[in-house]
Amino acid sequence: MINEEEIFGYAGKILRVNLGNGRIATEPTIRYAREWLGASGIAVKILYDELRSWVTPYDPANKLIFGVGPLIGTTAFGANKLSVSTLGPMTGGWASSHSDSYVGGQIKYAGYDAIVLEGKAHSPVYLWIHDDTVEIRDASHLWGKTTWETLDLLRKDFNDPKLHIASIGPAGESLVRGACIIQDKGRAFGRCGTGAIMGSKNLKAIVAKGTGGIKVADPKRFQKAASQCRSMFKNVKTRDSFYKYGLLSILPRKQEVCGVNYKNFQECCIPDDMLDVVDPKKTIDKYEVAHQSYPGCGYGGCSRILHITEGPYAGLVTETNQWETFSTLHTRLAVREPTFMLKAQALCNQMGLDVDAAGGAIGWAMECYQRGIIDERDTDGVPLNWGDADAALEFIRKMAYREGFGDILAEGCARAADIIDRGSSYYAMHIKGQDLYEPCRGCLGWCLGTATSTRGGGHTTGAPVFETVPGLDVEKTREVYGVDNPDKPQEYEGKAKLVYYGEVLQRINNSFGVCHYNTAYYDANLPSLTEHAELYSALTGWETSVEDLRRLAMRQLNVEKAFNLRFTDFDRKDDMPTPRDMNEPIPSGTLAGWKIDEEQYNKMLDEYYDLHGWDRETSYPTRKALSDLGLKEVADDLEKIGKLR
Amino acid sequence: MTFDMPGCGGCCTCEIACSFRHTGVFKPSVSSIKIINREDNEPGFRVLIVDSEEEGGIVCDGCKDYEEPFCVEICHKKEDLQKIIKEYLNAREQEAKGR
Ligand code: SF4
Ligand code: SF4
Ligand code: SF4
Repeated sequence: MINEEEIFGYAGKILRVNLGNGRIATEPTIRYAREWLGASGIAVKILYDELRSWVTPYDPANKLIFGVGPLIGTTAFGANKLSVSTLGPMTGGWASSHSDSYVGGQIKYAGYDAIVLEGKAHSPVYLWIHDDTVEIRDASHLWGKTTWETLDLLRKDFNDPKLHIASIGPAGESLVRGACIIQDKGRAFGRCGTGAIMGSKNLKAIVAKGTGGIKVADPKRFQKAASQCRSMFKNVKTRDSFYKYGLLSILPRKQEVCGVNYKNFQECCIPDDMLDVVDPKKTIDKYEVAHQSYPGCGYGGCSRILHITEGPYAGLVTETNQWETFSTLHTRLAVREPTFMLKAQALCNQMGLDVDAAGGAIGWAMECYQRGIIDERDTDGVPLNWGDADAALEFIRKMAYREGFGDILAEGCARAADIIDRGSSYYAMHIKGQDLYEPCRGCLGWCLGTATSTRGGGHTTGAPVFETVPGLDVEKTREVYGVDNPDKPQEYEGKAKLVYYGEVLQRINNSFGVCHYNTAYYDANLPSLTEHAELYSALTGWETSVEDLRRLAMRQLNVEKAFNLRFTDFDRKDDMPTPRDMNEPIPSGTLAGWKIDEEQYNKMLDEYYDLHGWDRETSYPTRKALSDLGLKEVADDLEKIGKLR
Repeated sequence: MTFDMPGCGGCCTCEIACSFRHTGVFKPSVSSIKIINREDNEPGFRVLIVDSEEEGGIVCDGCKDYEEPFCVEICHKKEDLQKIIKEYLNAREQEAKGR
């Protein structure tokens, strides 16, 4: 008999809410937790088992799963990343995102490790969770509102200025493929279009409050491990600048290594004179009014609240954006107004639109406009010149409401290029249908990890980030990642191994609910699998080794892969970088003239498949690889659809 | 008792740590420290230290049996929070004397 009471670290229950018939039920987490580990692990198991192959993303039969990792709600470093997973509208396959969250902790204190949302509500609703009380409530007064308005209205309704929510905006409601769910006002579940799935279910928001507690199997051991991990942050060279500027601190280094997206990847750095004009550090220094951090963060937060007091966006009060918004919208669209990054991100957040989906589509459109592939007859009469901030903002809005040309852009750059055709698909920078935001040229670990990512073009499921950020501790990175050349991003050797380690570490982070930047993902001096294993053992009382974590992460990866094979036609061709990244040398900067060597890339990809026991020709798993991970049934499933080797 | 804390990022990790100190369980609803919004509702946070049970939490005892208060140990702005706890303890002492 499974004893639900005995679980530690986990809250103990999984909440199932059918929005179609109103049925609310729970099941014990222990059914999954031992073999499927935490948030994204449990989610991939449930989605793989329960979604039949005829299900499409917006089908009521699709399920949306919020997962709260076992470390969330504890004092562990950076343990605040709520996870959301589903069959996604961007790639048509595995979709999973994470976001800094207070809501995650509240869901867990209320007693739940996950919320599985099923069916579709007949009219707009929101979900209210307060310990044992779970209610599907009318949200007609919230429908059509931005995420910021939704938060304000709900805080008023509940008379609680500290209420935390996860909601969608107009983009999710209008099924924009790149719509995302926003936590409060400033934190997005980026990529994958999970907001559109929430919209397709007529679910506007999740509001949670919990008063319960999380039990620890060995409190003394846990506390010791947690404070040891916390003390590791003092070894991070860039700690102070990260605390102050977050990821925006990396611009000079990115410029040096050709890692900036300029004019939709035509260039990999920005003009030198622009560097000084847009310097995001200056913008933060000038407009900072308060600090912003999230539960457990080992840096004490990487964010600020800014109040812009001058220029075109004067009056805007918003949280600092991170590097992604800067690279995918600000520099990609060649905008020089330094506060544009804040305005663009605020607008995307209000609309509930992913910054990369916006940047990918608008960047593609601006390049097509530059090349005369499209003109004002396509773009509702709006010229789409590089650097035109107003046009960019206008199309973010139009995408969110699916107005005019925005309706095409709302499909994401890959589909938009299919619709427009005229040879425009070369300029649609995506992997597996998901928009890219950072150059793959010149940085091979990143390139391989991004190209092979199961969620498409993502950098939180394998791609190593440390290759091109400042303060790399080469010795320590060698030790943790087990490769000799972590400081040589243009060497093909060792990258498959690097990505493999990244796939494990990042999956464990995602499963536990830990921020990647609080781990060896960002700096090898920070906690890695060794520390994770110790913390998890102390927390749950289940002795877990690094090898156990590796195995559990690889189980997840293989099921994500099988999930993609069931719902898409992905194979080896979809694990390749974009044609532009393959064909064009880096045009300027320190790496001018450097180009990906196709043969060498393919060798690297072979090595990557070999490490996983996947077939080189098709990318499909072998029976042996799956059986070794205890996934015999998955092998049988793949055999039935002809995708087992 | 509430205090301004301009450097507070609102992470609420102190609440989690405090509840653990009291109960051995992570349960911020019983914590002696609560992070609240600024009075004028501008960005930034204030710290509320629970000095009577009506405030919904265990009354703060300053972690007097420990080397360092649990909330302080985990806070990125240690010095600021340490000062607040001291001020709180002083105020309580004064109050006790006055009685
Ligand atoms: S480093 Fe930034 S993103 Fe990560 S937990 Fe801290 S505040 Fe959140
Ligand atoms: S731990 Fe420190 S920074 Fe975080 S909420 Fe508490 S007082 Fe504020
Ligand atoms: S001093 Fe101790 S009891 Fe008081 S708030 Fe801090 S952790 Fe809690």
